[in-house]
Amino acid sequence: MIRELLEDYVLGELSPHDRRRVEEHLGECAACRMLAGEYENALQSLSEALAVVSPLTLPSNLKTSLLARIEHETAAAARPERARAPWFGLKRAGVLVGTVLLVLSIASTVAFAVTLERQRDLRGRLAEFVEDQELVLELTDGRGRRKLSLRAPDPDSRAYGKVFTHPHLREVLVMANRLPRPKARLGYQVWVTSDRKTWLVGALELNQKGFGAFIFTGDRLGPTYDDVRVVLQPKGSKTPPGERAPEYLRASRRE
Amino acid sequence: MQSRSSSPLESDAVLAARVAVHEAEAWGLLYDRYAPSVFALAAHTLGRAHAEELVQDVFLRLWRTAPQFDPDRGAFRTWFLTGVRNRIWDELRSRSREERLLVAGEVEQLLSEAADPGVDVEELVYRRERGRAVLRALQCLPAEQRRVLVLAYFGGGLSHAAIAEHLGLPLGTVKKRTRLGLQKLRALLGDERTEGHQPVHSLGEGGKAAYEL
Repeated sequence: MIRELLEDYVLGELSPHDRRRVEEHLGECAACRMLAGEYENALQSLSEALAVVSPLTLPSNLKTSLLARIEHETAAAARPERARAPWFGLKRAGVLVGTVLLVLSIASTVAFAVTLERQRDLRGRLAEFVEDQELVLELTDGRGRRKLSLRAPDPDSRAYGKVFTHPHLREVLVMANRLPRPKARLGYQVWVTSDRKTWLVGALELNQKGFGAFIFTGDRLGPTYDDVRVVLQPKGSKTPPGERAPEYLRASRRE
Repeated sequence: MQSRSSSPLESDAVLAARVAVHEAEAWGLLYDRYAPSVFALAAHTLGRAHAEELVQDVFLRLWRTAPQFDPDRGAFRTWFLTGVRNRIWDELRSRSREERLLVAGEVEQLLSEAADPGVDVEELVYRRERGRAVLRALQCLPAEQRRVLVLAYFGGGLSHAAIAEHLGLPLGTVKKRTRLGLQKLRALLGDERTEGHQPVHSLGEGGKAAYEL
C-alpha cells in the first residue's frame, strides 16, 4: 500500500499524515527506500537534462572563487582556538559579505565547530592506536582501497567495525567501535581465514568508548580474506576459536 | 607508498570521504559533477543571481558537512541533491502559483524542444555522458507525461490540482500521467546507467534521507 504512495511522496503531493506514514515505513523497509531513492534520482535527472540544454550556464569563475574561500576556511580551521573563542556565538553572515568576515563567521558556526570536533575526534582516536597516519589515510581513503564491514551477529549489539586493504599495500587496517568492555584477562582477538587456513592477526585494545584499531602486515599485496572474526578470548590465546566461541564481529565481503 | 591521484571516475562516495578530510581537489570534482545541474535548477526557478548565491552556499556547506555523509546509508547523489531540491522547493513555495507555473512552463518548453526525437543528442552533449543518458530517456518519455512531471518538479512541488487547472485537464488524468511518467523515467534511467555513476540511488538507511541545508 505504501509502495503506491512513493511517487506522490517524492513529488511532495502527500498530506502531512500520509507523509509521516511513508517516512515511518521507509525507516523499516529497504526495498521501498531503494525505490523512493530511484524516483528521487529520476526527478533529479530533469535538472541534469536542463543543464545540458539551458542557455543559462554556470559562471566559470565561480569555482575558482569558491576554492579560494575553502582554502581560507581550512586555514582558519587550522587555528581553532582563534575560530572558537571570540567568534563562537556569531550568527553566520550571508554569502555576499566580504571574504575576511565570511571566513571568520563561517569558522564560528556551531556546525563547523562540531564538524571539526568530529574530525579531530576520529583522527585523534586513530592516532591513539596507529602511529603512521599517512598509511591510515592511504588505507581508508586511497584510490582502489577495499573495505570489508565487520558486523555484529548479535542483533542487539551496537558494535561495528571495518577492515581496509589497498591493492598496492601489504598492510591491513582493522578498526572496531562500540565493543563492550571485556572482563579481566579477556581480549578481542582478530582471526582471518583464507584458503581454508585461519590465523591470528592481532588484538584490539579498546579505549573508554570501546574503540580500537591496529594495522597488521598481510602475506601479500592487497590481501583478501574469506572471513574475518573478532572473538573474545583469553588474552594472548593462540588457539583458533571454535564455532561456539563468543563472536562479537564478523566480516561479510562487501566490495 | 603510492602517490594518490584523482580520476574523474572516482565514485562520489570516495570523493565525499576525501572532502571530509578537506581535500580541495575532491571537492572540485564533486563541484564539476553536480554544480551545473544545481545551477540549472536554481537559475530557471529562482533566477540567475539567486542561483549563483545558492550554488556558492550549498558547495561551501558541502565542504563543512561532508563528514555527515555516510555511504552505508545511501548514495551521495541522492543525499546531496535531495537536500538542494528541498531547499529550492521551500523557497518556491512562498511564490505565487502563477509565477511557479510560468517558470516551470518555460523549462517545459526548453526540455520538450531538446526531447524532440529529431534533435541530435550526440552532438548536443558529446562530452556529457550523464546528460546524454538523461536526454535519451526524455525522448522516450511520452510528451504528456513529461509535461506534468516537469511542471510539478520545476514548479517547486506544484500540486496535481494546480497543474490540472492550469492545463485544463481532469485531476485524475494529471495524477495518472505524473505517476506513469515518474515510473517510466525511473525505468529508462535504469537502462541508461553509465559507468562512473553509482548504479543504485537509495535513500538513507534509517538515517536522514537528505542533506540538510
